[in-house]
Amino acid sequence: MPRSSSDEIIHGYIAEVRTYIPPLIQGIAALRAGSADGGTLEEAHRMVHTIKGASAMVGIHGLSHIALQMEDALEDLMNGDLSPSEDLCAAMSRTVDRFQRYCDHFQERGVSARDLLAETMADFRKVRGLFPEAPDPADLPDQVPSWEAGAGAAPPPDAPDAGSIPEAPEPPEETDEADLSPLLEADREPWDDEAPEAAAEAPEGPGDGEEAETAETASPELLASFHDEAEEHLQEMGRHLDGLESRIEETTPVTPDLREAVNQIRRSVHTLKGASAVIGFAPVASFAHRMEDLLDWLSEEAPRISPETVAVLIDSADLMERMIAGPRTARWSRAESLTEEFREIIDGREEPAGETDDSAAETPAEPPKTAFSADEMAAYRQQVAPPLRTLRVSMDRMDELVNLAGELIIATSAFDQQMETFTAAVRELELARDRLRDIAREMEMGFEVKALAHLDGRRAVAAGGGAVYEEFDDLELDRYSELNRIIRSLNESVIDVGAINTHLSGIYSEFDGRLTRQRVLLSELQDRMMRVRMTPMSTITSRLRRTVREVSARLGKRIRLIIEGAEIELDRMVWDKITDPLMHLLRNAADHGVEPAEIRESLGKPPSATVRLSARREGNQVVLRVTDDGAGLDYPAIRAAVRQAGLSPDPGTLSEAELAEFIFQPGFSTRGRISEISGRGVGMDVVKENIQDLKGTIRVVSRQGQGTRFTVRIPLTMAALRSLLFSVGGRTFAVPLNEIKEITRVSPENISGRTREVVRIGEEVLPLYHAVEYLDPQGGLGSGEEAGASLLVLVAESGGRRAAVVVDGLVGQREIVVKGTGSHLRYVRGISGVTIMGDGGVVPILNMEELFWGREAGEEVADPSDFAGEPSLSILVVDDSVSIRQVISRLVENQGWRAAAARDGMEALERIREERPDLIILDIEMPRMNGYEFLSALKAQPAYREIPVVMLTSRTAEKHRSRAFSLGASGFVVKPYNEEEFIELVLKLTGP
Amino acid sequence: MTDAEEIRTGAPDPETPAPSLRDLIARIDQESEALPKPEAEPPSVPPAAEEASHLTPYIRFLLADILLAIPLTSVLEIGATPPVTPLPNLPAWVLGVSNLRGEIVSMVDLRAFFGLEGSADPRRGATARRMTVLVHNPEMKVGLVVDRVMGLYHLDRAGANLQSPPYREGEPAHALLPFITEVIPPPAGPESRLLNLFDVSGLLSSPRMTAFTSE
Repeated sequence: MPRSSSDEIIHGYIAEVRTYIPPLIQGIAALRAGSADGGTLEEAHRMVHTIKGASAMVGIHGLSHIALQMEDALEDLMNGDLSPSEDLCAAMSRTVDRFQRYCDHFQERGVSARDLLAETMADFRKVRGLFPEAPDPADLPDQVPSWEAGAGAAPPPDAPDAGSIPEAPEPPEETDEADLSPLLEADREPWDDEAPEAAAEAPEGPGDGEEAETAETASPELLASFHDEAEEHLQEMGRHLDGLESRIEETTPVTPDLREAVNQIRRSVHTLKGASAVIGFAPVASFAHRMEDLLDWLSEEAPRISPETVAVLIDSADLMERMIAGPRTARWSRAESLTEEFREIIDGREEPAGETDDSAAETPAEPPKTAFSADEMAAYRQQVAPPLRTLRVSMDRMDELVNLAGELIIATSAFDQQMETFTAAVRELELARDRLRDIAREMEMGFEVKALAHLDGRRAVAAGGGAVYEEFDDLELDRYSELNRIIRSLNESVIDVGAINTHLSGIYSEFDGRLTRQRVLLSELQDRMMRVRMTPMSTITSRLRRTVREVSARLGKRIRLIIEGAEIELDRMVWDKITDPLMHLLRNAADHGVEPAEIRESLGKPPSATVRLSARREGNQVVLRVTDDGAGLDYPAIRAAVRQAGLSPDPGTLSEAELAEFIFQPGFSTRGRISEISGRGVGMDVVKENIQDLKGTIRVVSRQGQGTRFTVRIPLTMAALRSLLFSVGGRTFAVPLNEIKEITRVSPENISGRTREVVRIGEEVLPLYHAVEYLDPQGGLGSGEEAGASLLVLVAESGGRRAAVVVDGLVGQREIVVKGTGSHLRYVRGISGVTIMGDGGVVPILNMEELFWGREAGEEVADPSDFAGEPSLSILVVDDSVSIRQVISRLVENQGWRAAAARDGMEALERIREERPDLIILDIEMPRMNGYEFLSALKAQPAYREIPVVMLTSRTAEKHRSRAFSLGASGFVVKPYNEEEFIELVLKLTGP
Repeated sequence: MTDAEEIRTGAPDPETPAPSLRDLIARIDQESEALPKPEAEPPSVPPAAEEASHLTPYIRFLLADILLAIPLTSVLEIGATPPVTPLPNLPAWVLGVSNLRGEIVSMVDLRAFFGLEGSADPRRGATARRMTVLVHNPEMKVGLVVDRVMGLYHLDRAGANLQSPPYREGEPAHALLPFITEVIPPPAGPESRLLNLFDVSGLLSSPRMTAFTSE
């Protein structure tokens, strides 16, 4: 049953009232027995007073007035106005019963408040000897309704019976040391009959005494903020544990930075312990406490830390997450065994002498740090109890706001265009004014010249006008005709128009200023709105890591999950939707992609497999890649399955790329038997569907024996994009501004290249693309390029490549809202969306990587050789020292390459026959066949002549060096070497 | 008044509310004077009979002199072709996308789709005089650019003389065969064409139309 917040308050309040009842009963009993002192009365008075005040506050007026009666009586008793008679005790006892009745029935059924109040008043009137005993109904306060009930209560039954008073529950004391041990001793699952389980759900149910205590400690708000907080800390723990896991591959001494990581984890565990104690998750708190012991020991005493310890910690973190997220499903028994392991680690793997002793001896050692005294707990509760200053807003509302912000941007751009019209009008006005002025001046001049030329005529006119000034010559006194006046007023009009024009210009620039400000604010707003919804991938990585860990543990495989780009942000909703598909892909990779360790070793692969999840932002897409170094797709099996299912008329002719697509078909599986963890194919259609729901795409590239890579592309729709608008062939296109590095003009002499045009810009030589060739292959647009003229070029960087793109002209920078290309054209190669301009025009947004350079270098092209583009070099290390071989092999494998090793030249020759390496790292001095001999032998065989060889030796003499190069070595590295330079050299030598 | 509005209302006077599709078609009927009046077309139905349940309303349009009819239920709007923005890497029969009141809809040149003569070329303004029929299915909305909209036709499946399409290889209408379910012969008269019932939902779910869902 959903509850309103006021309902929650009342629920919590009722629970509070319950806690007052037992002391009240005790107090009354003491009073009866005559053993009550002033303190007892005061205490009872305080509680009754609280009930009175608080009931009025939460709106239970009946209870408030009943309490008032008792409060008055207690006051009189304290003042000595009333004696502690048996009648008074009985009246008070009955009143407390009424409190109880309120507690039991108020919320679910309701109580007949007026009757109860009348009874109470009658009771006390009788004690005071007032008559009549029954109060005048008019004396009853109007606030008290005849029936009072909580919001969710059923309609009043005829006669609610007073429930008997159950034993009042004690506040949970989960922090007490004594209570922490059940986890160790209990052979039952401790959660089962502990109250916190109820706390995990919204407390509800008819006035059940059991639930009151959890309602007091864990309101849904508190629980929600606890879960938020816990999630944060668990993520933090996960991050540090992952760091430990990758750094500690063998038992190592505890270095300061490891200690710092341990301390960070300890801090999170400590906080979680406190929070779960407060919330009433006693078993979690207890388990966290044990874990903290181990972490204390690791941080303060442990000399070394082993991978096993880290594994135990990771398991514990996983378990804790389970305990918090799903108390019902968590394996509580695991807590016990883990606790056992903690102790074993601390005791140096010796069986503890006695379990109970141990826990008793261990815990008092640091009570100030780990145990929670009641005071501390109260302090902590004060910290946590006020709801965190966050606000939960539904996604819909957020969407509305984001959409509105988007609309605003469109509206503003419409305004922009109107502003342009406005300037044009002002300019027109200025021109008109100028014309008018010229006309006026011309008329004036013309008139005067005319007047001078025809003095006689004018005199005649003047004579007609007034004979008064005849004594003046024309040149001595100006005479104004009608025409003069018109010319003058024309001149005045010119000045007026000029003034208006200036005024309008002023208004325009003010508008413009304000508009600019508004644009800035708008983009800020849009930006913030976006950020509200964005969360980094790290919010889901702990779940993903756990998935891989669980699967690898179950299958007994060693799998390292490397996550790259955890900081990449996406809409929270998108992460929610993509988590399942990603988990599925990772599970698949672990189950089917990665071979068992024995097979891997026999294939010369490192026994520990690597699964890589990388997130990258490319243009306005986020690209997620799940890569494994396993067996790759089993193409023959897929082909067979396709044939069997009759999915293709001619399965024999299908290419590997075409076959790979079948794994996304609903119900397609190559396995007769679906394993517990996953069946490749089963569910892949769902994965694809989920991704398509997000308007994303998924592709798979696989190479037999080398691995599989899934590429998921999620478009960043909704996003406002800062973009550059340019024109090609008279049409406008947009590109994301962050992909444009430079805008420049190049003269034709800087362009060269026969098959592939390149252009020199500054120091760089970049491939050159003519946008018009790609945007309008039919050539209908006509290019704006002129032979011999300089070209306008955008230097762009996208998908890790830089290139120059020739365009016709620039339109400007705009903040645009990205829209899809409609329900029909869900995907158009090279187009990442469109935007609608202020005038309603549609402008395509280009995905430059895909449009221009994707055709030749796109790794998504389903060409298997492309897969090798992701470094999967095979490198042969030839050295007689086992440690050198190991160190170099590790270095090589860390790059994601494969390493093979040989002890001497003879073995190396055998190895290269098994698999041709891409590069050989060669020592000089070795038994049986030394490096020089091997090098000569290698270069003598045409099949292997091209394999680059890097000498790795401690011999620094020039003699050794020149000998190596004369034999055909490609590089000469002296030990000790710089790893990065070494890798650079390998890349250079194996590069195209 | 923008083109986008025009396709919605089709009305010259923006003051009047948008006329119903039926009114609009009635007006188009009147305007298509170069062709036989709808009244002359078989089997003409008095408006009063429209409500009768056994009659299915169809919209008739011309495509390279082929008379086609699609069910009114699959049609959302009819109007002049709005400005079309071409996109790269699409087959020639997809003219591009248009902005219909903020919604992006693709425009398909139905002549080009079937390889008929005289396809529209958005660059030469040839679409200007052609009409767009906005059709939909649950998955997508597409604007079909056709030569001319001819008005409503009420099909009485029981009473109509439905025949299977007689087209042979080489005839222009042969290209449309996969999507012509039945034909209805014209009544006697000099200027009449076969009426082809066109399977628009089949068109929208055809592989060529649905090829743009992913890379």
